[in-house]
Amino acid sequence: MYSFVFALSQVIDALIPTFTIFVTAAFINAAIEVFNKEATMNDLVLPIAMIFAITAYSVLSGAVMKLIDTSRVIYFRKTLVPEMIKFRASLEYRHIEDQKTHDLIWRVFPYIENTVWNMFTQVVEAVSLIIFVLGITGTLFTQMWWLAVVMVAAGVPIIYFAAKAGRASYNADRDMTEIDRKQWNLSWILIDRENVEERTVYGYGTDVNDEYVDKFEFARKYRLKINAKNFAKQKMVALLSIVCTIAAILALIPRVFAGEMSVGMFIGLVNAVIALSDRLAWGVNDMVVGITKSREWLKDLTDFMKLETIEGATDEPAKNFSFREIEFINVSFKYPKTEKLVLDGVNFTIKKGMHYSFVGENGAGKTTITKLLTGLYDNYTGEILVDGKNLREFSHAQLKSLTAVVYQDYARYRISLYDNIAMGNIADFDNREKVEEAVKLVGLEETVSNLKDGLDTPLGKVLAGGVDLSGGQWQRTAMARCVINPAPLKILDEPTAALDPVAESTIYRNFETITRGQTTIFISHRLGSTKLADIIYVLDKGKIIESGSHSELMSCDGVYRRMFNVQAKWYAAEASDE
Amino acid sequence: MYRRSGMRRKHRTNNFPNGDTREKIPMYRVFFYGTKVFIKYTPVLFLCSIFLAVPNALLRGYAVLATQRLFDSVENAFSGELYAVYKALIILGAVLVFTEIVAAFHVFTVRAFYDKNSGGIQRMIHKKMSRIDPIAFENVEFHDDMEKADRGKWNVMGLTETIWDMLGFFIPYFIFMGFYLHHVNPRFVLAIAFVFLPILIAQILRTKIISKFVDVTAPIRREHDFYYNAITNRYYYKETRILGIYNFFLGRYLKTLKSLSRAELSANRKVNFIELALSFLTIAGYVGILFMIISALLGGEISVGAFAAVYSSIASLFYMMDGLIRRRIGQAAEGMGYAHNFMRFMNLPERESTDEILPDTSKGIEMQNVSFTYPLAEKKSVDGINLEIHAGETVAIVGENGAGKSTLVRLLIGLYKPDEGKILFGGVETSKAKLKTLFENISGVFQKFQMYQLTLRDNIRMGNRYVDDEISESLSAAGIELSAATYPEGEETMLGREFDGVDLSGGQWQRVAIARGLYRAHNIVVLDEPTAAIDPIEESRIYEKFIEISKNKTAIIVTHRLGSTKIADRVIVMQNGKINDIGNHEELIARKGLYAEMFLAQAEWYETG
Repeated sequence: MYSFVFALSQVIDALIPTFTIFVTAAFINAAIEVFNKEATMNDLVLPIAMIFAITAYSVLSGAVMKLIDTSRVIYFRKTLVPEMIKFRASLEYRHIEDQKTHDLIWRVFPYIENTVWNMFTQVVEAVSLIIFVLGITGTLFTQMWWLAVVMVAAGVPIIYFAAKAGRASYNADRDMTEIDRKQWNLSWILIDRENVEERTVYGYGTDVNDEYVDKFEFARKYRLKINAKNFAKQKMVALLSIVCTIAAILALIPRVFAGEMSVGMFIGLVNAVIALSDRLAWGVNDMVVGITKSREWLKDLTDFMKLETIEGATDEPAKNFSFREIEFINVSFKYPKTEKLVLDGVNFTIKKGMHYSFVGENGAGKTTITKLLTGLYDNYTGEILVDGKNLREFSHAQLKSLTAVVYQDYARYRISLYDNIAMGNIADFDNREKVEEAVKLVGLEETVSNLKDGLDTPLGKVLAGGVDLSGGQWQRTAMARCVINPAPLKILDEPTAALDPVAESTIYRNFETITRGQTTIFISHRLGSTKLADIIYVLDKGKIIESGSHSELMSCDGVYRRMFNVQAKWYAAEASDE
Repeated sequence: MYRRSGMRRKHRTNNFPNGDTREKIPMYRVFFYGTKVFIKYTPVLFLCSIFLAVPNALLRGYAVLATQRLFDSVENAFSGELYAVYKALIILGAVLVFTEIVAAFHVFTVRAFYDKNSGGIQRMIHKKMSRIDPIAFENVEFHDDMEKADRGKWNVMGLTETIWDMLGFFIPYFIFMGFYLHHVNPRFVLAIAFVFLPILIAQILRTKIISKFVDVTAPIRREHDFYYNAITNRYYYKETRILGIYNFFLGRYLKTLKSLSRAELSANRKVNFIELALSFLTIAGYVGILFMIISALLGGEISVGAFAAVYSSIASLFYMMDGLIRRRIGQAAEGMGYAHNFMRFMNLPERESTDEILPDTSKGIEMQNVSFTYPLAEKKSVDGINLEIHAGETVAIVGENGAGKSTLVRLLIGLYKPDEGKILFGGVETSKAKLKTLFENISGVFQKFQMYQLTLRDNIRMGNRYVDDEISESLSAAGIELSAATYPEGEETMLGREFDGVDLSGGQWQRVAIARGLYRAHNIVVLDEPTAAIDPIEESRIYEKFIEISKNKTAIIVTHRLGSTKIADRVIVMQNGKINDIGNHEELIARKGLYAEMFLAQAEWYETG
């Protein structure tokens, strides 16, 4: 509806200049006649009323249109943005880690609803401009046909060069996207609040700033050069159109003296033709540049929408999912676009109700296993079977209900503490008792009682009254989220890295309660924790090199024993020290 | 170095009074500031744009005059000279061509200097960031300004440019038109007032409504942005997906979107109704002008040519006025909120320094009765501490989460100033020293270490950008092997996924951070939880390597791995902001205090047997 009113008003707006020519002509002619006493004042009433009507319409329609404008942008925002969000949320995970996607998002996403609205207005304006041009040239045509042709011909190069300029300018943006993002990355290093310590102590500010300026200036000059060249061409042809305008007026003059054209009509036309050439040089030009850019933007959007998404990526976890056994058979994996085999023919079994521990050097592939189990990547070779069924055959809702993970880089959601924990089980979100129980288990009770609004205190600085937690407290919040989660397999990736010794020990001691007898995978460099595990898998360079219980592994001379002893030495009695 | 004048900061203490930070900065100060930036970064382009603006305005005005001459000449030609018509037309043509050329240069100059300055201002934001007193980052009240400074820079530029355009282009144009109208008929000057007043009133009202809207909706907007990020940002992405809480966030996102839209719509409705109402005034004004010129024509006061020219010039006056006030000033006024963020950001407290004496690290560090409270916090984080750390000593700081360990370290090296007491760092009082000189000989590996999306080499060199030494020694000390599998391009391998680099694990990133800390030349080193994510064998090796490197150097280690404290000469046990105990490992164990309790809690997990 709004769009229709908008379009209609644009058409009327476009026709107004043509009306104005005639009305002005009528008015001026009448005025001259009155002046020469050839007509009475009454003859002036109609033209004055018309001029009044036209002006009133232009002024009022502007105000009304602005109201519609806002509604329209909001409408696009409401319909379009959620769709785009859903699309982004459903992307295959490998795209999230890919530079090409980052580049596209960089160009496509900012203010998407405004871009779309602009495109719409550009098209309507284009129609409106065409009508405007047709109106004037049409009038011109009735007066002197070839002149109309000349004026239209003058417009063609303007459109041609404007389109070229628009394309070139967007392509320059494309070329510079990576540099822009790198420049933004440097900028982020210098303004990130989380980075105060390194920035201040290392004192690299000036130097990184210089590098930022280099990149910025490089991109700026690149664009400037292209835009200057095109701008010069655009303006050259605009000058041409002015010369045509003057020629047009020149050609009209003899007709006025021949009495074939009234003075009023002449004045009306001259005003109109000058306005036309001005519109060609700026209005039409900018519009064509805008439309071309929008077209290029649409190409990017299309490319983005071609990215593969995952069915069910935005679904909630399925209910009551359980398993008896998970098997990794000869699983190998490389991250997309990389050559390194992060997992290299891995075989192991996870049985229901048992505790497992994965240990190994940094980069041995421990965390990668969780990424495969949670379905983030499925481009592995070999097989992952859950109760004999291929992991790839499970729906995403099922995959989500299989695992509860405490990530090494767990998310710190800037919402209330309660929400942060309760979202671990979205199906039972309002169960306050369970949340309170989880808080107790992970040792957050004291923190909660110290918060102003207890569990309902917002965390982080987004919501009003939000407070920040320490690293250890955040980590325990992530743990509590995992405790709440009904998924049968719990994966804890370095869950105690930021905890003090007493807190860490408490977590270990409560381990059985925390895990409620469910299956767990514990990834940790704190080898004390491995004593909790029934089976320990030792990974090295993407392979499992040892497996067994703590005592089994300690009884043979392997990597695990060496690792454990190195760490245990720190805690050994003084006598065995050195 | 950029120096602000006329805008001295008001806060110099650690605890910033409420409300003071939300001050509104008058528009003229934003304008002066923006102008200074323009002159600093683009003096030539800026002057060119002003020098082009005036002739651009005058030529546009003159085009009206030339048009009138043409019309007059046509009318007169019936009774006389045809030649005059052609002359008038040629002049008009020349004026139009000339206007076009000047306008083209003007427009392009403005674009060019705008682009260049956006980089210039960003550079100033960076500089300011590095000069802000580190404690200010802990103050929530400043976060808004820090986050929005980036956006505010556009508004500062926009506002300044608009005012200059007004001074250089619009005002000369209106003055010219005023003279012209006055010349045709003194009464016609009124036309400018008729055109001007309604739009001006509308804009003043509009600015008020919009800036209120921006203020009121700022918290919702922040929330709205966060929910968007919680779904789409890479940092939250995988957890949001796997927890299946997309709908949870989408619901909240849509709710905030709805209330934002409602507020926006209602503010805009108000604005538009006011504009609509005032439009009637404009129309009335227009009729008045029409009446004036018609009666002047009929009264024989003006020629038909003058009438036609005035008639068409009024239309262009409307257009110009509308362009200036509605689009330009309106936009600039809407952005004032962000401009305030920017200006307040630029006023954030910096560290005052009176001393530029290089600390003599052989004198060690001394804390005398030091207390410290975070901004807006009630509890002291560090409470009455006396401590001496000798040069060349290795000191470990242990304690529970939140005991004040990291705060103590930040005070020790001078990152924070004490509220009470005094800290002498190498004989220099830290609260008076210049941070740059203070940190000349300090290195560190911090808890919140950074994962720079740069090449491995650049990551390491962040520790010391002024030298271009070999990094291989630091790499091997931190246990980074340049295997072709992990680092396919050796030192030049791009790290992180932002630019298609290698995907490092948490522990590998931490090793990079350690190498960075070691690469930096230092006499004093701070290690705040340096090995939290590192595997046992490597952790042990790094500590051994560390002892070797830091021989004769002062080292301060914060750690939860109590086993590692054995390498320390002394262990400081913190509890609730106070020192609970000091001594070496054996002494502390023997005293059976907090340290022994913590140590045993951890040690029991390593009992063999």
